[in-house]
Amino acid sequence: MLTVADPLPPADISSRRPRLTTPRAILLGLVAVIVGGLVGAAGFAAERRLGGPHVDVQRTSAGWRITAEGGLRFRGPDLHGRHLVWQDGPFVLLMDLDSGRLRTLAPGPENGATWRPAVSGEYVVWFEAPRGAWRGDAYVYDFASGRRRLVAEDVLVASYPDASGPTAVWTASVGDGATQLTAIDLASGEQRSLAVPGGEPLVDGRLVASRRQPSASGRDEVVGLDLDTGEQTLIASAAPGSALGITGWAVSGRRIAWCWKDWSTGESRVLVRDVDTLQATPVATGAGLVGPSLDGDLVVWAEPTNGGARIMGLRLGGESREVAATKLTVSHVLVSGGVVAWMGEDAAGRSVLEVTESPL
Amino acid sequence: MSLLRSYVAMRSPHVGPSGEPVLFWTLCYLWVLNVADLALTSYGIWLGFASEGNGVMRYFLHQGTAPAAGFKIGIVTVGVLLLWRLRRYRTALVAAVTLTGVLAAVVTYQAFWLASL
Repeated sequence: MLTVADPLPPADISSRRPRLTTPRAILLGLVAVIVGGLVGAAGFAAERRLGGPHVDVQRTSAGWRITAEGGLRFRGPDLHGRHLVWQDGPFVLLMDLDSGRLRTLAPGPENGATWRPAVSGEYVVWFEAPRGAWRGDAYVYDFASGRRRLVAEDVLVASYPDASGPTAVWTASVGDGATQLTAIDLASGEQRSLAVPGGEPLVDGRLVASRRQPSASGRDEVVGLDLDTGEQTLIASAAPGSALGITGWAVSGRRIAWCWKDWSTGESRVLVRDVDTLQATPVATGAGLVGPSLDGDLVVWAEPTNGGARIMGLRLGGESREVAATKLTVSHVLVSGGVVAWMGEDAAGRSVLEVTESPL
Repeated sequence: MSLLRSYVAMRSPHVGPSGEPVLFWTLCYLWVLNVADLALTSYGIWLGFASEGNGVMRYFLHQGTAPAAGFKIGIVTVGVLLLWRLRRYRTALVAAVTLTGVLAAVVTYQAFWLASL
């Protein structure tokens, strides 16, 4: 005979509720976090391997050797003290010469191309833009805060920027063939513009050295420009009918250095002129000299040799000395704060930067 | 809520006795990771190296940190409570584990990336 069992009494829900604080539950929940974390770390590593800037950084007995990889080329290096910046393909890289640590400063998420950067003791400044654009936005990286910020938008770029302390300068086209020199205080954002006939400016303190080729004469010249007074001083100008061109120039303190090249003979001359006294000091003569770079009274340049170059240095009033010898075909030399760097190509055509302490 | 429960009940089997505590802690991790995601994203944008890809969040971040935090934490808190209400169903556990794993991947990537700057 079938009997119907008494219905069960209502269950005590509270007694059936599982404890929420069991270590097993905590660990099982953590599995999703750990697995996700591993996927995120692997994704970061893969992106670095596939998409980031590729450089080989090696510490040498004298300093550093940085070689471009992945088919990218280095451009426009700049040096200030213990900081080296340069363009590597579409990237702007910053290297701390004490630690060898590399930072990728640009391009930002909105852009795909950069122009050559400049570094001062406090900032790195550069232009970046969408790929193929001629108008760029000027960005700055602040060493103190570690922040990257926009300082000027939609600039019709006519020169690369340069920086000294909190001051950055560049030239921009402003329509009808006119150009202006923009000087910006990177700390306050205050901008000042001066109408100039083109030119590629370099700045140290309040003195700008600009190489330009006025359309009236068509000859290379270097002028010094005081940012406070706007006063311009002609430092060097190619003689009419000569085949002289200015292949390099630099500014430090109240001195401007430059390199003449006679395109008819290939001979080069490096000179330094004091902006106040206009006294010129010959520094070096030779075929195909590269540079100069200037830091206080120290001038550095490169002399091509068979299978490489000699990096030379001279303290004004002293004798020139060899700083280093390299197997690179050198295109840029830099000196700042007791550090000498140069950039060139190795035998395989790869871009290489070499850095050493100055013995001078 | 009852409609949602009915739908989930039709589709999803119930979890075992250990499912609820695992779900509880997974949701806790999800909530914490969401706050970490907000903090890291805000820091990356403040540094100038990152931009918000999500248009809705970009709007709120443009309004300020407080509105962005209110929206992001608020919406995830609502989602977490919703999943907790559905805690008897396996679907809730699967959803929570998946979301937590994805967010953990995003947060880890961001942390490595910010450390590399």
